[in-house]
Amino acid sequence: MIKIETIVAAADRLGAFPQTAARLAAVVADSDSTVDDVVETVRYDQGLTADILKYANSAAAASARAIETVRDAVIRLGGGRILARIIGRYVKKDMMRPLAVYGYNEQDLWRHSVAAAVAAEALGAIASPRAGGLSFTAALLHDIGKLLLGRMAPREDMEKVWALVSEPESGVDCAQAEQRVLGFSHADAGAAVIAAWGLPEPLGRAIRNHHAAAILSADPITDVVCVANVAARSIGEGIGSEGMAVAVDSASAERCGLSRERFEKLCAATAGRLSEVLAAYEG
Amino acid sequence: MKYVVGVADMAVSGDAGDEIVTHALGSCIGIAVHDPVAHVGGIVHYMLPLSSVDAAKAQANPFMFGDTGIPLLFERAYRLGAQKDRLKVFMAGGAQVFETKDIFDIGKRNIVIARKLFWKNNVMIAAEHVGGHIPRTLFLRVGSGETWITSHGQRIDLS
Repeated sequence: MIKIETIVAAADRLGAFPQTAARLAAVVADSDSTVDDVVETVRYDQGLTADILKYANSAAAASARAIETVRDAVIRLGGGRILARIIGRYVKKDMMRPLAVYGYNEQDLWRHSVAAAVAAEALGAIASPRAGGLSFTAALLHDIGKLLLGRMAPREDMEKVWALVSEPESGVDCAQAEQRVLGFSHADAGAAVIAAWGLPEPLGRAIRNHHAAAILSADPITDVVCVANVAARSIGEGIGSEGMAVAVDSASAERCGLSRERFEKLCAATAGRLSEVLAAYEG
Repeated sequence: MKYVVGVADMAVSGDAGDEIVTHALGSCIGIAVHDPVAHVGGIVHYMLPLSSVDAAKAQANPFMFGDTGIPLLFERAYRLGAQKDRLKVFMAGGAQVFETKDIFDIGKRNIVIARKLFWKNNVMIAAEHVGGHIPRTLFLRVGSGETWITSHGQRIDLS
């Protein structure tokens, strides 16, 4: 039986986690942090500052004027989007690969993850989520556990997982089936990896609970990730073998201020912005 | 030739040798139409039921929405010689998440808008495979009108 520690150890194969991202995540998580704190965290990494400026001037950032300084870029993008950008570049190559166990072709996991991050951002303009910038990264990384579990878990175990999910009227989603067969789910594995990377605990908590049918205690970042995951699926990104067999707490949407109509607006907005954001990761 | 219809996309063909397919139907709906005499067929893959949610996006891409995408599918098929009284209509998709309320239930609303449109316009659905939670891929052969879905590796014939 594979252990969660084995999955976490396998995260090393993704390459060294960027330490600037870990430091920036702590800044973003701190509600008292300022623009200057973000600038101070990123300014000494030349490759990163060049990338932030490029991103701030891309169509995805939709700036009305040219952004020429790191400080202006931070003001334009915010620490949360910069954090998601750094981590997105770190995981992109691996997330682009096919993941047959979950029925994902090339790019599918990457597109689903970016779509969820875009939905988390768009949510702020459509409803009233109480989560801040960390939620963009939480949405981007919510299925990071799949990336590792999909490569490491024994095939026969994952066949048992899909047999459970595919049972008519089983009401069991992928994470619940993984829990039963393996003793932990991709959501648990993802949260463990987040902790190993030294990222703030609220990120791991949101990733661990993003499939929870009923979230026991309201958690703003978890609420956003739950909504963002469903929004990404609702625009056809990340359907894979699961389809829509995903347990989700409707109260998450209500706590974010979403009605049915606003959720549809969120899906339309996410679909509209996705190609621009994906394009900004090219090159 | 094989046409792959993306999300919020459509393809119509009058070439009997063509095959049209749309993948990754979750809560989205795929509507396939086929005229067995004119050998015209098409598929639209829409994402959301009503264009009133975002009029600008509906203007830019009417295939994103059921109420604008479905009529366009029929219009394009008519342009290639299809006739309404001969058209066979198939529907697939509209899956839903496990939730206690219906905030996220776009799949069900996507099904409802199609049925409403067809009922208002006296169009019968020949066969459908909708709802539940499963992913679906919808296929149509333009020459024969053969229409089927696959899900979890299984083929289910609609025509």
